[in-house]
Amino acid sequence: MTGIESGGRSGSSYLDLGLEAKMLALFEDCAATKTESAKNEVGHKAKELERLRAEIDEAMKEAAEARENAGLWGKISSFFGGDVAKLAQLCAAVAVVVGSGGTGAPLVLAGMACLAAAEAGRECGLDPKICTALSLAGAVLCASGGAGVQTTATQASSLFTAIGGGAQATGSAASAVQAQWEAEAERLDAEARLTDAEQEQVLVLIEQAFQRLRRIQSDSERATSVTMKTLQDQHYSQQAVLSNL
Amino acid sequence: MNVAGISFTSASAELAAMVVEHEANQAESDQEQMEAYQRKIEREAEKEYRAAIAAADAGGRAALVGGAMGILSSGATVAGAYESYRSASIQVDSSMSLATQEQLSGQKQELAARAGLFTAAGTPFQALNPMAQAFGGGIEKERQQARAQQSARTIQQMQSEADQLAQQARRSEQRSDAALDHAAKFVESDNARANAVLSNF
Repeated sequence: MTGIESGGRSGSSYLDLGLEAKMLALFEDCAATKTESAKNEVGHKAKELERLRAEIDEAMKEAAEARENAGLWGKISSFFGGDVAKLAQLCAAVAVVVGSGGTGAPLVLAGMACLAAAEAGRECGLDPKICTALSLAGAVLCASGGAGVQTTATQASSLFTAIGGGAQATGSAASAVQAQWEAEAERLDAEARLTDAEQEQVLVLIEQAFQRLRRIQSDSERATSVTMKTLQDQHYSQQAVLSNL
Repeated sequence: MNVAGISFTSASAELAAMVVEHEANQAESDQEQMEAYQRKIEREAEKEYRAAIAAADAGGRAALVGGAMGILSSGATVAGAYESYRSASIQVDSSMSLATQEQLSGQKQELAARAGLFTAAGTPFQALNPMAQAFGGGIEKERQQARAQQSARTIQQMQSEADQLAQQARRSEQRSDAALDHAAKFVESDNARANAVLSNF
């Protein structure tokens, strides 16, 4: 069997064997070649599996980093587009109210309420047309409240409005960057999923190679057992013939 | 009496061989089907990947459009506020000559009008932002996401079918093994009978 395990025997070395033994030896030769091939396949696929796993790990790590970046830009967007812009709008409204000596307060407050309602409506999924109408109404009311306001107050209000606008622009830009990072994370997730599917395929192939190995082993055991039994039977029959001769 | 080109002397051994051949053929056919399923799964995974990438790209585009609209809207607000500031900075005093007063008032009104124009110009950008985002990639993103989800569902279904086939193939192999064992026993009993005949000869 040593010769067979090390890659098979040449056909000429079977000459000294009987028919059944020759067949068994040939079968074992064939089984050894198949085993070698299946083992090589398992080894090759195991390396491929390792590479794919590393790729998945890498993609997942990069996706996590992209999500972290998206989170950071989301915070920046929420800070500028939310907190700073709202505070600036509030300051602008206060400046108008103070500048008008309180006379514009009802209009400005109504305008602010309309603006706040429009924003809340947008977040709650209210009809965009209604939200736009509320925004427009808010802007008009605020502007009307500012009519006849003292010059310094108007300047302060304009300044705060400009700050609010700038903050909103920064928030919009940050939001766009955040979405780009989120898209990158989605791309990396898709790559990881594709590699995972490839990994599944490789696992199936490895399982098939193992099945082949088990099959070859069981076939080999069966062939050996049948050949031994046949040889034994032949031996008995020869003895029987000889003893009855 | 022959199965797969081999002739059998015993009917029972032949029957066992037929079972073995049938089950082996079945296992082979199951295996082929399974391989076909694997190829289909591979193609579907590729489709899912492409759809997911397209969805991500569309999402990125929509965000860029949204960002640009937001910047335009805020830009208009800032420009309006600047014009308003400039308008408020113009001081019209009664000590000035009438012509100067008229000129400054005209400038002030002009700047105030421009401020209103800018502020009004910013509103449509803000109002149309969701729509622009939807046309700029939002709708496409949803469509591609739906395709990717459909592919993922198809993959799951095919994987479950492939698993069933693999189980069938394993059962066929087990039956084939059992039939082989039976065949070996039949051959053994044939041999034993022959030996008995010979020893009593």
